[in-house]
Amino acid sequence: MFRIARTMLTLAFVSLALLSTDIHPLHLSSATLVQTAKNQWTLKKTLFTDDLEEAMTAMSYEPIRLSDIVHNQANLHAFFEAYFSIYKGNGEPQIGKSITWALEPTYIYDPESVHVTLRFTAKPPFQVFDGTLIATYADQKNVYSVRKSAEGWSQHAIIDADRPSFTVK
Amino acid sequence: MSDALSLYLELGFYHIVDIHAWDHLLFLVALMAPIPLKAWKPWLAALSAFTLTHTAAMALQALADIPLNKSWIEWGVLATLFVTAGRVVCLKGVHQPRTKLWILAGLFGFIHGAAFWSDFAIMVPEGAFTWEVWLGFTAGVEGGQIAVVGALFGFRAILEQLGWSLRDTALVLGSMCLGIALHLAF
Repeated sequence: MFRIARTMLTLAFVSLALLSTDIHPLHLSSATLVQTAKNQWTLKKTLFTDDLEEAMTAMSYEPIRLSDIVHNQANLHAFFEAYFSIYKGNGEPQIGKSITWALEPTYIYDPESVHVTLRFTAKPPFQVFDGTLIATYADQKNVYSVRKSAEGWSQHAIIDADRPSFTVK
Repeated sequence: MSDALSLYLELGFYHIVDIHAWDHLLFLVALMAPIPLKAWKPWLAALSAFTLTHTAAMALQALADIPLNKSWIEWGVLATLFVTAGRVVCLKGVHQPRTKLWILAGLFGFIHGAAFWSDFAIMVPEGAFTWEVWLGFTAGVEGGQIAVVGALFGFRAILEQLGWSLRDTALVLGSMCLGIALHLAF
């Protein structure tokens, strides 16, 4: 029996080199989508800084350090242009039905997380497509909470590799 | 079921049932490895104690915002793995029915919960901490742990059919967990 145990232990130690050294990597972002006035929406999104830097570096082929806000604001805008979109209606997204959004002039940085604010005008129903970080991490989940009025949260949703969008009703 | 409850139930479940969740998986395997399936009370009590203190630690952080040194807390999590796996190895895989495992699991759940708080604070959007979020996530963690333990017991049953005793299986699993925990630490 001890021979088996010894073999298993050896296999375990050999396989250790293949393992991740991160004790529990977590790939997610969270966002609130709030209707501030009739059909006026503010999206506040929080992403892990290291995840976002890695994804933006992969996109731009140059090392990104988000602590340099002035230099990276345009890079962040380009990143969101590539991965974030909103469409009118709740069917298949169609050309000409996309909704324009505006990124706040500066994002908020801290070493742990980055806070991004977007604003747009849209009448529900509309679809939010948020592929940010999903191309980089297959297990990425983007969590949304929607508030249409002062009465509280009206909707919660997850966007991930299997569910690329959700509809604000 | 409200969509907040179902969403955080899903997030809690997959927080545990995740191939990258080394801290939880190793802890659960090491904790449960020597316990026979028939002794369902001690293992269910241990899992529930872990879940409750994991949530309590996060709730305490949400209320009091206690400043914690992140690297110390991460070392604390690794220490829980060393102690849990080391215990199995030291006891040579023998189940100790008189040990109150739920106390150990409850204490360690508190450390894991404190370590997870900063991530949970990002997981839940600002201002969206409701009872549904807490209940959903806690129930999801408990469900995920039961699923992992179910898979472990299934794996052990297969080994038993192949002639492995529970003690030998526990010793091998405990040793593997200890080895992986050492790798994660260094």
